[in-house]
Amino acid sequence: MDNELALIELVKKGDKKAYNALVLKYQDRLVYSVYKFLKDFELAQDIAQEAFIKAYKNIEKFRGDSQFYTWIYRIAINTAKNVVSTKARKSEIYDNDTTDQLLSESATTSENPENILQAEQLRSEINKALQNLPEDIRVTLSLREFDGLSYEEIAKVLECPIGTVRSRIHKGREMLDQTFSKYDMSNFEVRKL
Amino acid sequence: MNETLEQRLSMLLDGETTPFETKRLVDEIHCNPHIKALWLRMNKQRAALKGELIDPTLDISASVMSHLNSTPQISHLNSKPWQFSHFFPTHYLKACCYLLGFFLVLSSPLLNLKNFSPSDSFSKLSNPSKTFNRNIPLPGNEALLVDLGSNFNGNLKNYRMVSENAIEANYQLPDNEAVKIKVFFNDVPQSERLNLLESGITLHTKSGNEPIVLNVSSDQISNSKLIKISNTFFTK
Repeated sequence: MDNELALIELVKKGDKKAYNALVLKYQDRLVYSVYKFLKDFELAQDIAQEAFIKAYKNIEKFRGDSQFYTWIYRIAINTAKNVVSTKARKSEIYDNDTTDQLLSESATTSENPENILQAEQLRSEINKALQNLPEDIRVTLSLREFDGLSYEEIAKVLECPIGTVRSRIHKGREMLDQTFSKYDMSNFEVRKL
Repeated sequence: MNETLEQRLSMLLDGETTPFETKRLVDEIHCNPHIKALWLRMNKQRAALKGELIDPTLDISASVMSHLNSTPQISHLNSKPWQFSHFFPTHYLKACCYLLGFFLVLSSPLLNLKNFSPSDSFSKLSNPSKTFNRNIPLPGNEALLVDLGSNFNGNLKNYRMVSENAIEANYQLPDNEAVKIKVFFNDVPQSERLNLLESGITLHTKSGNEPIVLNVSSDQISNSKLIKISNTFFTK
């Protein structure tokens, strides 16, 4: 199981550098989750940002019973719901079902398919690169990334030393990073912030 | 440790680093732009693998951190979560004490309560009134003890008043090891000092604004683990 309690403990002691590392770790995932909910990329970024700020201010309430991501995801989705409700109230069309209506409307109308395609291109390149990795490295990395196994669990499954797991995962990431770096980011006409 | 910095970053990504190593890597990410870029790329690579990459150039960390740096320091971040005052604001606590005292005085003839003095036997959590002490409100004590335990994932098993100003509490760790914490609400009596020196780690800290002394001991866990546990009680 992914365990970032050490990072959280540093944050609880007031270490903002540790929080920055956490933001860098989860920002893509959080923005993506909120975006799936709202289908508005800029709003998703604003809400993710607000969620990170709220989470920091309330970090002492995080007890480690769940993953940090689960916790901050809940904060972000609640923030998103509030934003949508406020919008509904402001437009004076609020009734019991308005929030759901707005969510489902935004989910079907406001995304530009071109941007989805561009981000998908990179995702597809990375997945191709993953398939081309040597089998032992690919299997080890997949057990980590897709099955969420710890190094110890992977070592048990593959019956190999934990050091081997560690180095295979690192090597796999290095090889994927070559693809990632080679891939010309300027090809993307990504939405600018 | 023969791992390269990149390999250690990879371990950090998977939550497989020790607290010490985590701290070192966090500092590296902060100080070295090359390492920060690598950390960012590693996370984007993971997001891409999982189909969660929406914009390869996305980075909201700067705006989040600038917002956090521009707001005044949040005072509670520098104190421990179990601090007494968070759960029981003083005015609320005082009112509760008065009400509780008033209720007990009125109800003692009915309930045949003859003795309010601290009991020597360990109390069960289900029946905390056995250790009632007029000077230290028990519900507050129990919340404090439970929160002390939450710092190191310790489940409060039982506790007892060992003197008018001290509680001894036993906790169970997730791997069934036991830890004992003595909480002294004033300073440690001279007679107790030598015993404490031999039996564990003693810390001087605070509960709300009140100084308390904690003695952490266990006959089941290593000294290094004991030190780790006691480190969780330090306030900045």
